[in-house]
Amino acid sequence: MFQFKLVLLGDSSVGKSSIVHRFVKDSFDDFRESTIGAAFLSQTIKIRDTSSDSTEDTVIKFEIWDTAGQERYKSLAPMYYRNANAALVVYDITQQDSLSKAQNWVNELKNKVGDEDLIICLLGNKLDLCDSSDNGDKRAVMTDEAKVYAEEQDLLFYEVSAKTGQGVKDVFQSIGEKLYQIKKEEMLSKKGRQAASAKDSVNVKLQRPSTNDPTSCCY
Amino acid sequence: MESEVLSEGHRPVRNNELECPVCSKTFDNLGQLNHHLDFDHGFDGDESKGGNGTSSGKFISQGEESLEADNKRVRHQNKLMIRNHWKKPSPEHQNCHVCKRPLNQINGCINCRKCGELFCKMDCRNVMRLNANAEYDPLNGRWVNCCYQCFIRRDGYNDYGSVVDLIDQFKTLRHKKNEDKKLMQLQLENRLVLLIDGISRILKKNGNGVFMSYRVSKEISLLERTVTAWKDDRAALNCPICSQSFGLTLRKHHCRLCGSIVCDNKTTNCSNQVPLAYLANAATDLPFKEFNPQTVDKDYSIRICSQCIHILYVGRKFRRDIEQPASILLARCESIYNLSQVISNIWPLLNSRLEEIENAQKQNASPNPALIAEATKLRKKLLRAVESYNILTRQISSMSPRNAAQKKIQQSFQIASSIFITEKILKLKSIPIISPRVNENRGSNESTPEVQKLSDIVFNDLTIKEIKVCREELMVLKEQKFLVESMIENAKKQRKFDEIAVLDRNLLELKGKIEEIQNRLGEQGFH
Repeated sequence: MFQFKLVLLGDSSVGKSSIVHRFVKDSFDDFRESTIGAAFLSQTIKIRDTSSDSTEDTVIKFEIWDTAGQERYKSLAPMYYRNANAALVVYDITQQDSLSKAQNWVNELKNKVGDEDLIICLLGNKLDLCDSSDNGDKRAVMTDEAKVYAEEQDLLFYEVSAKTGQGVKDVFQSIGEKLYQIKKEEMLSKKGRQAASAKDSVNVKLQRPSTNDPTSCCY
Repeated sequence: MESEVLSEGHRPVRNNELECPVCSKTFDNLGQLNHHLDFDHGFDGDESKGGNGTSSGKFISQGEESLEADNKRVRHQNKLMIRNHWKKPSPEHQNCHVCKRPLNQINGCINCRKCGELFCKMDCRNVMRLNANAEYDPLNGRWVNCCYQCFIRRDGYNDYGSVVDLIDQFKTLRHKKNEDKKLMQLQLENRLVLLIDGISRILKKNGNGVFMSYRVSKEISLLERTVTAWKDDRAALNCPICSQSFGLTLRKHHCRLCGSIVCDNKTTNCSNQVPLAYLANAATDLPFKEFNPQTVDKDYSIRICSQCIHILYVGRKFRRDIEQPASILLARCESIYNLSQVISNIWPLLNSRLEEIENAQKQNASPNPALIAEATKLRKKLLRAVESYNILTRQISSMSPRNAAQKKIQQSFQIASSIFITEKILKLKSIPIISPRVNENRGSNESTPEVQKLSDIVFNDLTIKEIKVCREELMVLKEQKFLVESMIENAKKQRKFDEIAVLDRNLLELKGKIEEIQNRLGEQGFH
């Protein structure tokens, strides 16, 4: 099983914690209190390996750090985006300036981390406030605007709704697939190098893969 | 109720008819008048305190009269409040003036008593006092419903309530009461002088002979009754001070000054036998002519009730206490209080100077030497004040109190000064030293700061602003450390060991960061 560190960044009250809770617990709270510091959650997903011939699903685990958006906690963020495999930069599609805050985060990530392998995903939340025709469209950030920016910066881009759950699973699924892809390539190249350096070494697998089966004693 | 009619009964009884003392209506019998007074004039309260046992009763009566008159006026107006400005429900006025909801049985249909517009129940919930002409009258008006707009537009309205100026009223009442009190005191003083002089004269005249004692006591008792009229024994059922009923064990006694009948209970201390010498010595300002403390029989004493003693002697004792110089403890306490005022006054001044210097520093402007000199002076002054505050505190705590009151004062000053010290002296640490040379002996108060360079306002190579930022960061990190620790606890309970590993790693990272910042802050961190 692979483990990936994932961090959520973004302005306060854009819905970071709501997205995480939708993904991890599949629940939504209308009156969520604002996060203090950074919260930790984990969730596993299954990925079907399309390239290899095996039909078995691969399980990957996300260690999610949900940071607080308030300015006060900004100094904590570097600790959590450092060594992260993926960063979800969330903005609120009904708030124009939350997008500019998100862009600031993207810049900070690119400057401070500078890791090619870090997957940054731009995520517009609160889609449910926009597509209801009878209640008036509250959208302030056009999809195209964000999409163009995401393509420029080479980011993944999605619009989701934590309230309805629309798109949330897909985001994590696609991030997982991408991370898995990267990991596999890395391992393949490593293997190749190892194989090249020590052809006769015997690999003993010490770690038995966790079953992630609640009925099992090793859960 | 009964007593009230009786007390006013002498007026109405005329030609076998009873006349209402308020509105002059006539009635056939007492029962009808009683009923009329209760329901039309509202006398069903407990206003029967007219027969007050003490002589202060007559002073109260005036106030009661005006109260009755007020009541009468108010109740009279109620019936006559105008309604011709009220809007009637009509096709134009079938919706609430504010929320436009239709006026019906459910929503209600009420006129605002002030503006007359029609409102639903919800929009006409405020109440204000209006007089007969539907004008705002905070004193005598009747409480009626009105709309929110009228409610907030009335005179003296504030968001926190309405302001009614009652100071003049209060002043006149207080003045009246004080006058009464002074008059009472004067009366008692005159009686005391008469009594003491008279008794002294009688005692002097008759000498000390044993067989004279009967005549002497008779003469004195006669004198006592001329000085003040004694109240009738039969009317007194309870002691007016402690309200216990008289009987075989609780005997009646007359106060020789006010003449009222009081008990002699040792626990309630309603009355006491007080020696003449005490009475005269405690009020030396009174013009005693015959009294001579050496010749008068010291054992002779007269009975005085506690109320008279209070009226006569409390003010005198207070004045005498004030004239005496304060004890050393109190003097120290006063100076420590003054010092604390000085310290709290210097603080904001010094802070504003420091801010100005910092601002100049930010703009890279050349420092104003006068400003820096002033800041240095202020700092010196502050340190000196704090030092003497410390010395005074120690002096106060080392004193031995003479009585319970002093002990209490000492203790409370100790508490107050310790709070003051923790508040101010701890802040003192955060004052930048205006020279790096004195950094070494910052702990002692005798440092003599001298200005050298503007950029010297630093601590451990950090500016004040950096310290603030670092402290904030440290606080956030500590919070997060606590959070992660509780997350680990939770994960342990739920047996999620792989999560614990992740969290443990994070906790280590946090601890490292906290240590780093604490090192950077040095002494300016939290301890």
